[in-house]
Amino acid sequence: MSQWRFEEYSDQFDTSKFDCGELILNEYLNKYMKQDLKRNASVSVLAVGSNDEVVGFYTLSSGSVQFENFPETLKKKIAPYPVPIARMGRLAVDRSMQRQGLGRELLLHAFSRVEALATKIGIRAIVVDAKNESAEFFYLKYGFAYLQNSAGSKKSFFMII
Amino acid sequence: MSSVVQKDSRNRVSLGSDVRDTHFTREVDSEGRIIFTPCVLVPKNEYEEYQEHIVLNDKQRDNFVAALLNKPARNKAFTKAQAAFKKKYE
Repeated sequence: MSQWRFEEYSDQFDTSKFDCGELILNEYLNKYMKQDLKRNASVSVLAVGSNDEVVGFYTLSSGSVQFENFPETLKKKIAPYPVPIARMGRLAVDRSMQRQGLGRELLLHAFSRVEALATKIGIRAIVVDAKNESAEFFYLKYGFAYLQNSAGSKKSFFMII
Repeated sequence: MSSVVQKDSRNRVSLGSDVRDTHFTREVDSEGRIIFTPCVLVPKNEYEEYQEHIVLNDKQRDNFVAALLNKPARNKAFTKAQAAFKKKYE
């Protein structure tokens, strides 16, 4: 039997003890996730343990990729509009569940969701943000390609759907 | 930023400055009209995460477009993990 199950965000799950080692992600879960949901800014999926405690999560939102320059030669290859993407802005695993495959499963859960959506609306890629080196290695390990440096010391990676 | 309006010859009443932890600033224009401006306070690092529109420079664009135009690549680690995930959950 799995140590966790995946659920849509709900107040019924206990977030109070969650600690992934990154304060900003812990704070997001406890202070901002519900607000984002209400504002339709992003959707969150939780990994929940046997006592309904949250042991992991990821967030998904829509976005786009644009180019500073769009040369004429490129317009013959792709449409001259922003490329629609899904963004997995956050992925976090509680310390008690780290190194047990949950991060990988959260990533694949998000990926399968985006893949299914891509058959119904225009999504060409999934973009993820790595907040530290460990996260960078994680995404590179599974074949994500470097996209750009983003805010702070974060790097973004992508995978084409 | 809002300005404090003192009572003047036209008897306009002071509105005071911004009130901490509210989401409106209040100003009075030259015609005595009150301007309410809603403010959303977002920590800077959180705000930057809300930047949904990614803009690529030329080199980043070329890498991204090259990936777009090719068949989506999946390495062994991903393929193996995905197969195991599907077997477990689907």
